[in-house]
Amino acid sequence: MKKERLLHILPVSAALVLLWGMLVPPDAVYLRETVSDEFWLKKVFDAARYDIVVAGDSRVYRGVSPDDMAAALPGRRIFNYGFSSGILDGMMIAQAAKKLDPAGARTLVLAVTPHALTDKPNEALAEFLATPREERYTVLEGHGFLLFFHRMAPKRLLAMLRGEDIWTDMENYREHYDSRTGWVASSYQKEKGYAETLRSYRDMRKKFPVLPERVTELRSLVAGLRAEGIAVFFLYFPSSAEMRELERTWPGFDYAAIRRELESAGAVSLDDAVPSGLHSYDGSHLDGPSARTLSRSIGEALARAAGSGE
Amino acid sequence: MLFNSLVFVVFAFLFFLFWPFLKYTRRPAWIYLIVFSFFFYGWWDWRFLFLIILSGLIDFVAALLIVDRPRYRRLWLIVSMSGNLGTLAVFKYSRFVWENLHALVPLLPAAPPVNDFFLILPVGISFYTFQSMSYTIDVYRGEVTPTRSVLKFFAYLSLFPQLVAGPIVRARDFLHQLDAPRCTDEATRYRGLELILHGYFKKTVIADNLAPLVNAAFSATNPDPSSLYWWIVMVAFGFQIYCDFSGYSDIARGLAKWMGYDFMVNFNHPYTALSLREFWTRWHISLSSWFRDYVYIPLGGSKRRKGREAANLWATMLLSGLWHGASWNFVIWGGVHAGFLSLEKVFRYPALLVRTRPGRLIAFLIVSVQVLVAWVFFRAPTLPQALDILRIMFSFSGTLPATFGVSGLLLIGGMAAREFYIYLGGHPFFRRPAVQTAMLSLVVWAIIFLRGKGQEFIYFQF
Repeated sequence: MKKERLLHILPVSAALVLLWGMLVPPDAVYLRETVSDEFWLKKVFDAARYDIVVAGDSRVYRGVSPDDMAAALPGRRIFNYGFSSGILDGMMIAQAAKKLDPAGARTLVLAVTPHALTDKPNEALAEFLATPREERYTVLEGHGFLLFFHRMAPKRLLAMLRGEDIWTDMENYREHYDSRTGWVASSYQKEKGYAETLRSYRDMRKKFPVLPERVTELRSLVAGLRAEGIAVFFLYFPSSAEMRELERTWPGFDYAAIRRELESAGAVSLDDAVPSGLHSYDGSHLDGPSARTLSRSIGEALARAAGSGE
Repeated sequence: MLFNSLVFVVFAFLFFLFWPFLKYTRRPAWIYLIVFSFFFYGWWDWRFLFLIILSGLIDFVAALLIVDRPRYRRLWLIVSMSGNLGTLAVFKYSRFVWENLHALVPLLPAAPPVNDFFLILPVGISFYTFQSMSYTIDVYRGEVTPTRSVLKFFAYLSLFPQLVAGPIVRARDFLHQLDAPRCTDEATRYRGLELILHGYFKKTVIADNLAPLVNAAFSATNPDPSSLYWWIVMVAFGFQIYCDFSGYSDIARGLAKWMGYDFMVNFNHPYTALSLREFWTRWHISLSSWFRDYVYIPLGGSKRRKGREAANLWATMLLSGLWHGASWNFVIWGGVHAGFLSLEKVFRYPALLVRTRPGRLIAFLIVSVQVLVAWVFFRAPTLPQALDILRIMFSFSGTLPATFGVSGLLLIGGMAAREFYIYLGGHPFFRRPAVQTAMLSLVVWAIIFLRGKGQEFIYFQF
């Protein structure tokens, strides 16, 4: 009988794979990706429910710290439901409302930005929602498994063979993903000015004006939420002064009119709660300490609103 | 279900756990195959199983009627063709046709007036539809005796290794295998393992690691102005799509071998071709031979006068382009190939070039450039972008961007070297058992640790 070659390959492969998995740790890029994948899928699919949910775009997920909001709202469960390039459309509002505990305080805070009211689709949120169930399961339940069988891009392997450090994150971005609250505390190791961000926003401003239909849709969504007994608050989310100036001339963006629309639908403005002196590390997003300052202030405003019965 | 997913590993393990005990039992084996194949497909969207069942039943019944009611055999064939082409028309081409009609007649609404369900493109629809069509056509031609077992027919039609991305297995090559699968001896098992591992390597290590480079190039708002950059990107895409698709075919063939079946070779080192005609005998062979046998030859093939022959060639290539996707870019891709094939027919330069070694090199370069130019239309999301990229490629200006890494080039070079090495027959050293064991173990290591970020197989969309 001919020798079974499969039986030779199996132990050699297994030994090779086990040795590599045990001796070579995941490189920094893979570690960051694994943590980030888990963070986003937890944000979308975790079954936990909350009293207060803050929804919006990347300014929210980097700029709202639920724990700091909760300092003024003891006992309240708060969650950050911000997504990259998040749009305040029906999908975002419905998904955010699903995170509210029917037996809780049921409060939704919407972060308004010109970008969040454009015709762009809610790409990041839609992509996470469409994650195949096996991938979802692997990422959410198999963290240790993924770390053992870590992926290394060939260029990282080459760098490792050249003796370069691939275990320390060389990215300028400093990010701390907090899956429990949905916040990503962010900053740059070395800030490089606002020029790059402002340029990309100028491009976007040119291509994507604020849609009046989007504002009308948001108004009716807010009215619907109010009819269901959900308290709705909103604020024009702060960034840098340069960005605010850029957004002032964003086609179709008239914040005073939007504010009137939302207030007429029953939402309450939190614009007065935005403190001065906040710092953005890239021109658009608040850095960690500023995010905490803003969050505390929003929390206090919500506590006052609850106290006054709004 | 994707071959490159953990769930498939579990699925395949469960399938092969009991398959050896059932494979020679015919009916239970067919039921087992159908159950697993439907589960495999239904994992994506179970609703579309009804589409496979419906179009399959039409062909099954039509094939029997062709034999049992020969007086109306042409009618039964038309019914079968209408069922298959109608399915394709509704699910694959309706939006495309409607959008073009809308462009011509702006009064029409922008989207076709059908339920959203009919606008979802069922995975692998072009593959299983063509497979099913070949069955009734072959029965009509008297080349295949139709099966009277609906179980056997669906075991053939839905067989999971090739259901969603080929190879397109024809009834005449496969139905008899369902009656008596081969005994899987050591050599077959080893060959199956080799195919599966090489398939996974091509897909996960080569194609998935080239994907970010290619995707970044094509998703940039303004194309990079460097010619060299775009030539490298197109070579990268050439290898990405080759490794992606031939990797899938290899895995399918390897699984079939483990089951005791044989699928046809679908790719035979296409980039070593010295003429475009030869390229098409090496690339996606199951599809090109399908078009040859069911479109090109019935139209008259090359047996007619020159003008008609050229028209047949163009019709076949344009249809082949349209088969890939409902977009003008794919039609143009087919047209570009037809144009280059026509040039070859008229000037017959490949036959002249292959006589000498430098001539063979020139022939190889000509085919490579032709294929890469055509790939631009295949990959670019819009026609203006494709034309823009071609303009840059042939402006021969600019330098590589500073961020361009060498690892992509190494992957391309490594894969190209592997292709030519296998094509040239290999070296006896690499056929030693110990070396083969070491090589395949390294392949397993690479599949696991050097895998790119998981991507769907490109040909699923067709």
